[in-house]
Amino acid sequence: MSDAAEGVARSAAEEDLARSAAEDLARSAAEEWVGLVTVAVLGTDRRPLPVARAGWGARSSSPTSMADPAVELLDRAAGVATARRAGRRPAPAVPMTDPAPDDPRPPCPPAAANQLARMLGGQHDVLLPEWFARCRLAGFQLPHHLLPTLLLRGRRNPAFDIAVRAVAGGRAAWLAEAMPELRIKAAAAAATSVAGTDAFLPPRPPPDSGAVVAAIVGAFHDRSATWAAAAQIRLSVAALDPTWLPPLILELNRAPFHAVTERTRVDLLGVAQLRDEMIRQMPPANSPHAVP
Amino acid sequence: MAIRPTPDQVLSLAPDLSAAAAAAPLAVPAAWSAAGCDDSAIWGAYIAAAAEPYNVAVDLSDDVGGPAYRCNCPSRKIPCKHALGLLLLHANGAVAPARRLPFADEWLQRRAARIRGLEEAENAPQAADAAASDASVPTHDGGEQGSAADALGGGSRAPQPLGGEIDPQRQKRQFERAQRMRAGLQELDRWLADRIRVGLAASELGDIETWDRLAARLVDAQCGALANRVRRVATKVGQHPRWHEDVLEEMALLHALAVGAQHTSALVPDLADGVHVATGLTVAKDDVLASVPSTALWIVAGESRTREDKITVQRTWLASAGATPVTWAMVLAFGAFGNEVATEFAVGSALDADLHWYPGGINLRAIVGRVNGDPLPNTAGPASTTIADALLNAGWALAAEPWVERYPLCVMAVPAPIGNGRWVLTDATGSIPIAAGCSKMAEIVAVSGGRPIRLMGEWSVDGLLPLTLFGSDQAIVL
Repeated sequence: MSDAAEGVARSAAEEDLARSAAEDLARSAAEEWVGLVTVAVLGTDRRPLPVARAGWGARSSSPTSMADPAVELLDRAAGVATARRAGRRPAPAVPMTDPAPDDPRPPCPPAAANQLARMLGGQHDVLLPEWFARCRLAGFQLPHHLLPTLLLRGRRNPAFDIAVRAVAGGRAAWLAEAMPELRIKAAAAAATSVAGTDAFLPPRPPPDSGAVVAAIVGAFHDRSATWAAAAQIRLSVAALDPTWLPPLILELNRAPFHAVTERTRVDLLGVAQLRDEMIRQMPPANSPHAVP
Repeated sequence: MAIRPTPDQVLSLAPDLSAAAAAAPLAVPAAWSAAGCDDSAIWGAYIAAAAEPYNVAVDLSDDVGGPAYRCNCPSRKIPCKHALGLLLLHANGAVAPARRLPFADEWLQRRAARIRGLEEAENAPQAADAAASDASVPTHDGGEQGSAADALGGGSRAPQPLGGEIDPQRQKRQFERAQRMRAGLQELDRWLADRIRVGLAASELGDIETWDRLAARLVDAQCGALANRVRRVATKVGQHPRWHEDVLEEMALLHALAVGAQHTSALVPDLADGVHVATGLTVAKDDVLASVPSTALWIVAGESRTREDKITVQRTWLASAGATPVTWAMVLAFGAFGNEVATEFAVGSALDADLHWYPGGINLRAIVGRVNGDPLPNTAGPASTTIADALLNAGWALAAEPWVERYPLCVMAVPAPIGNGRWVLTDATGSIPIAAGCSKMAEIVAVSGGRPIRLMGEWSVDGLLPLTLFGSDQAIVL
């Protein structure tokens, strides 16, 4: 046997020795711990404290209470607890389930994913249909981390569910299989599929977007753009031809301040800016409205 | 006349290795202003770190059994790195004879006077404990907290000043605080022993009142950290069929802290510091900022929040970039009830910064000092380890400070279900449970798609609490 081979054999033997020593230690710690827990549950008033196993005795923490078995138990438990915490090893590896099918589409850009997250959080969600239409046209995957939220939202809103599934790809189905709480009744979705299909399409642009922008700006000058009117104006901002967004943003920034219109102005500015950003993140290959 | 020491002799005066290592970079003439020496002393103003220079002086006269040090930095190490740095500078022959600076002269005069009248000084009640161990105890202006720590632990580590330099009112306050803490710790320990005597199965343990009363007493005793800990243990009662083990573990560690905090002088200094922090002795921020920083590119790897008795605690986990093994740091921020904690550092960025460590057996809690430049985007996250190695790292930290409740890790692993709605994170080296409180399991599974993902989280006795996923081009905060 060569020196090198001998060395390997020796180190393997040492490793075995170390492993079996560690196993012995773990076993004795476990035994000691069970003994301490049993007495602690019943109380040292009722149960005598067994003598410590070799290596697990503790120096008394307090010379005055040398005779107190409760203190001795705590002293010993502190040592074993430290060993248990510090010595915690991983459980055996778990067999993995089949991974999600590969998706050839590029991942959703982080900025677009963040926009979706904001809309799902309730901010300017009037733009959600357009986001999905653009995502589908751009050929991106949905942001993986938002899939659970999207699937759960679709449970309450079948039209939304259809829009999600149109772009979700195989991963959504895989996820629903892996997480039972995300399993959505396919029947419910299928039943409404015909009726709800066009409920989640972006609004069509008006014939004259310029006139709409002028009307919005006018509403701020005559102070009719109150919060009560905001929902209606928001829809028209969501529908505007995208080329008119920058002028609208400019005009909204310049609109005269008035207390009754300020909240609307800030909200519309947010919608217009988010939409403008979204279009830059997911530029149209062609108009989103061309999608059948 | 004192003989000039050699650098080796100077380093042998260091209280620990880290102080010695910290002192070496300070021994450059540029860091000092008006450094000078005479036959029996050296002095100087350390100007390189703080806005206020530290006035440092060392009494080399050997007729009282070794050098004495004075420095107005907040460090509790004796000698502190400034005194050591000045001595090293002197040992290298870079300190020229000069006239004594006023502060040095005043201190040396007072010292000389005091050595003559040492017997009287020793009779001062609050100094009796501290000064008795060594007649030549060095003088050092410690912070209020530091001195409370010394009085609490029976303190031979950082002795009380010999008197005169600290206002007696303040000393009285420190002493009273130490007394209160000691009483609180003793009460905690008695309470723990009583519970063990009657048994964990006794019904009063399930009554939240039992614990709340103890926590309230600990708050009164100014052991706030222990009070919060006690409240957390209370929530473990009856949580699952084997809760007795969890509670006994926590009670045993509380016992160790209570006993340790009363006998810190018997502990190694780092451990004593860790015990102090864990029992609720707050360390002044300035003290920490005065320590030697670790400068690196720190990745903001994760953030978690918990509510602790009307206060929101935010933990930001920083991980050193590039080098393996990763160095972890925890930066705490607090928000009073109802107020959100402002997020100072965005997860998914990295900052080139000085980190100052809190004292303790392990470097974990830190304060961000100087930040160089703007944060850089970093979506790759810290270097990951195997699950087995992550637990090994946590194990070393827990062996040094078993009361550490959370330890960070970053692994490359796959989430896998084990039934009953519970999940584990697994790789070839093994698996660890994901804490039952994790509400973002679906997100983790969705991002993983059944393939390994880089996940940062907090490891605790309850399992792993995932905080951040590092995807291909995005850090996802869970």
